[in-house]
Amino acid sequence: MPLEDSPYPSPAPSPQAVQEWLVTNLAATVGVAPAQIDVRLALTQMGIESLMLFSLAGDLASWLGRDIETTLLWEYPTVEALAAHLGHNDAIRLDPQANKPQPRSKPASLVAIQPLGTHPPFFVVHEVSGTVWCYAAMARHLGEDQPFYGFQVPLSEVESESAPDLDSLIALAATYVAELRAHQPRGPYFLGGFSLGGVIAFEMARQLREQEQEIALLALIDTYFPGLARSTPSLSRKIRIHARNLRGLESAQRLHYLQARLQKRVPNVPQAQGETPEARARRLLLQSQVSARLEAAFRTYRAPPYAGRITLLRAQGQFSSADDSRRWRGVALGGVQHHFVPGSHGLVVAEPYVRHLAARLKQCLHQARTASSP
Amino acid sequence: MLAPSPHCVLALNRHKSQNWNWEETIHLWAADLDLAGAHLPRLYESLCPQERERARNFLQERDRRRFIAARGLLRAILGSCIGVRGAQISIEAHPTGKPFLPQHRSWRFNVSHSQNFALWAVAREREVGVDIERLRLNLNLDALTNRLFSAPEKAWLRSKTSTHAAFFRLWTLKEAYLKADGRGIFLPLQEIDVSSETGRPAHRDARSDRWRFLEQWRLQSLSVFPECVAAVAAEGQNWKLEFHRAAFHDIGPPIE
Repeated sequence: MPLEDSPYPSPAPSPQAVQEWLVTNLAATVGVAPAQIDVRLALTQMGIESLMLFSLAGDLASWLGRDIETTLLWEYPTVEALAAHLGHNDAIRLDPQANKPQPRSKPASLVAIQPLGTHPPFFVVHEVSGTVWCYAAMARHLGEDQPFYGFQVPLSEVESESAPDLDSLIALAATYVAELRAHQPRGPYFLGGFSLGGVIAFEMARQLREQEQEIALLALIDTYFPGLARSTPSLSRKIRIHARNLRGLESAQRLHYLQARLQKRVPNVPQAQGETPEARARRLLLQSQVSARLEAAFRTYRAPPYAGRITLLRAQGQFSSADDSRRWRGVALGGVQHHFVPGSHGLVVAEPYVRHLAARLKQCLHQARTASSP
Repeated sequence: MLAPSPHCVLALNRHKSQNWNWEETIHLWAADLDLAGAHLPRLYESLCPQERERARNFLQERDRRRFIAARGLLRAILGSCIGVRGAQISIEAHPTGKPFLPQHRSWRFNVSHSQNFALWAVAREREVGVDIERLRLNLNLDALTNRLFSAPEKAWLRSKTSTHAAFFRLWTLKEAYLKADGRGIFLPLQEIDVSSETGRPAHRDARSDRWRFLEQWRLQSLSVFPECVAAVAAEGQNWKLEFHRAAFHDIGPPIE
């Protein structure tokens, strides 16, 4: 199908290129040398006011050759996070050199975020984007003595026969539990998740306990309680409508449609070198479907009682509310340990707030290790 | 005449503030943050641990000092209004960033600063938002207009001869409203119109595609500093504004 009539997006630059652009432009705006720009520092800590941020968004959009959602600079508040979101996202692969027993089957979902260290590994689960990018900053602060692994949704697998079931958090958790036990056959397990990832980690812990495995730590980072009615509009519903619309279009029209609507909602789209516009459009569609299905799965999931203990880490700038805490307390038969960490929902995993979250997590991991050692 | 207590910021005003009208009045303070000077250590002392952490993480000293002054004065002002020490006030933030006082929920407030010029608003039982902007010359107003304003707002801008001043006037009104609402730029900017001379914001109804005025809000432009444009947005129709200058000599003697 000829594409000459459709406006197709220019190839997205790498995260490094986006980062360089941001550093150069921020340095010029703020009046410092580029070397002084800390890519992990929130832009608001650089003395940049909102009108300047909007200006920056506009210049960035021009350079990228496509629209940028205004809220992006608030949702990804550091240079590093913004660059990762806008550039292509290379999935971190399990380190083949790591001195760990090789899993029996090829793990499509489990990846090593930081494989080094002597402590028992800490496993986290992706949030609604299906990626583990949100944990990168945390990994740095957890340090090189804490092995840190994540479960992600690999786009390349989504439409294959062995695709994980994204429509049911129970089935998804079962897939991850199988991979987890292939990697580490016996507990105690140290699990966690940010936002939606916390719910999946909860279901994994529940299933592991049914398999008579010990859960040393279950840490939910600013995680909503599933099933609570909320007033936020349904992102998944909007995306489902778009996906349905797209199926009726021919490929040239699809690109135009996607460019106009979906790009602003699609985080962390992986991109191969020399990818054709058609392939990119397909990936955008896939990524948006992943997010929509995960969000829908979250809405239909009901948390059963859990025989163990839950550790809740809540953002002080509160996304999850006191209601959520109360509900988690209601299902955790072993009780709830409650911690507040600074930042709002988006910022709690970003600099400079993430160091507090990481410090707390380190404490929790240490406590859990001491409690479960023979 | 009350002697100013070194621990009680704005002590001189407190005597008057007990008689202030809070029902129909929104109280505003304005200050040049760069004049805080020797008062900064005391202002820093009144900040909570998270604020101190934020203060430590600024790229430039100038912005660190302005942050300390802005938050320290916020605590001083709130303390003076409520009748507690600023350092004892617990400030939290909603998910979209709007700060509030969990222990004093009837007290509402908002802050804005543009470089060194700052504006604080305090009200009771009435949500409020403020915005102040230093007039800048180095912005691409066309690109910003496209991003930030709705169709009726763009039409209003086109009808003005002095586009620079008009842009800032319109933006401060809009930002004050977005901040009063609390959702900020997470609101759909293209569906909001603040250009009406009646001072009421309008929203476009997605279904009928018609613009509807929101009677429960009122917006007002302000002139506080010569180099700036400012605006306030608040719930209700009948409020009036009372201005106070947050002069630093009110804080008590500087710490040696």
